Amino acid sequence: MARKPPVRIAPSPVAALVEENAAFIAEAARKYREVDVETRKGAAADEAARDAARPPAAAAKAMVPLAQPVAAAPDRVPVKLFLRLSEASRERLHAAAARAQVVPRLMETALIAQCERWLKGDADAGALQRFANEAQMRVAQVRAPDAVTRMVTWKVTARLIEEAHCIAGDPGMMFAHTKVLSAFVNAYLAAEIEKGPRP
Amino acid sequence: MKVITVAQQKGGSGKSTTCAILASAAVAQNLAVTILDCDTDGQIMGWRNRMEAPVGKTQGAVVPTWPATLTITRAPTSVGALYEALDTLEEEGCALCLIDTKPGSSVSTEEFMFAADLVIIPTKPKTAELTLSVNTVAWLEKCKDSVSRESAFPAVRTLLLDCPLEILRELVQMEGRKKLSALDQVAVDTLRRLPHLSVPIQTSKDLANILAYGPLPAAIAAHRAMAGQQLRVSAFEGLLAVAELLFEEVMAISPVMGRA
Repeated sequence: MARKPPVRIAPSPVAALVEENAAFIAEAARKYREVDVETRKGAAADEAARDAARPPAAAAKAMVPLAQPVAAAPDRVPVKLFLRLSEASRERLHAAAARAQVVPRLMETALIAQCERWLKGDADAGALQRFANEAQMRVAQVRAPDAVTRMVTWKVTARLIEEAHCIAGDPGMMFAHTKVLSAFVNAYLAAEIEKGPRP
Repeated sequence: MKVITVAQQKGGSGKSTTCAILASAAVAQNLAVTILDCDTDGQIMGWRNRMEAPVGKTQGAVVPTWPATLTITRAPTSVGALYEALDTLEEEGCALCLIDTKPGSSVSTEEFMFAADLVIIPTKPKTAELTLSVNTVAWLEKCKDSVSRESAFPAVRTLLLDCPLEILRELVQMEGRKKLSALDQVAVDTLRRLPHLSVPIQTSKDLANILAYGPLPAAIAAHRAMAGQQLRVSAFEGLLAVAELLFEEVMAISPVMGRA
């Protein structure tokens, strides 16, 4: 006998939540898109300014070279090492990941670590956003739509937690909107998945 | 065909591991099993690749042979396609369909739960995990209120994973409560109040790495063919024996009627 969905007499809990908060979700989505565009514009300029301001010796000290075994297993690089890699090393790592057609999970993990740092107040939102943009772009390059999806989740969640913080005006209330945020993230992701990975 | 959805709001709670345990037990009994992966991190989708990956494996290691009776596919993206896929699997003789969901609470996870005969909520004996398990059980109770009395609704059970020996002993009443810390006592009491499966899964490094080793019967066969792996073979066999007990219990659970 064929399976049938149950007969609904009311919306399910999450569906009801999305319905109740449709206006907030639409507004948050609009705000997010605005902020996203602005951040993308600002990120390139900020990056260039930072590179220009960085003394060459200090930059060399802060970065570590990419060892050959690391390049051989690009999806297994520890997060701490990844965050310290030089631009050139990261390029090599991404190239190795693209060649091997592997999902660079370290980007995901590193992004999550950055999100956590930001939530604790150890990193600024701009840095997080730039990192999220880079991570998303890189993962899209190796054609891993699922990983892109996760990137977007983290990015949107981070942005919306910030918005919720502003709305509540109180750090203690920061997670008051978690359920609504979660509903929004789901709605946003559905749209993102439909569009496919960003170029 | 039995459809089991594994759901839990917390990430890293062992949803994919639960699917791997049950799939291993089904494979050991030569039953056809399909896992629908709807988690965004694709842990289960990558199970076969990780098992076959040369990285981190000792030189000369025997790569397990993926069982012909185990299929992993992406979950359908619409409700209609989900029910169609389940009907097709049933027609093809699939005995068990496991649905691995993503963390958090979403409409899609609700649909995957509605389509199941049983929802398993993996949990670990830690305060944070148990709190979210309680929330997940409450979420399912609310879901039940949204369907008619005449509709079938999945049975709900929590599964204790990563259970330390002292808690395991307390659960089977071998040692008594006095050996547990206050927090562990709260964890055990909370777990007992939830509708739970009677087979707990003990803390084990081999279990933690099950998604790297491959389905247990295949992992056992491969490790038997290697020198110096007898201890690991024994550990896998022990784990498989527990998996089979769990499998027997879950296959005997029937769905309930909505709001009844």
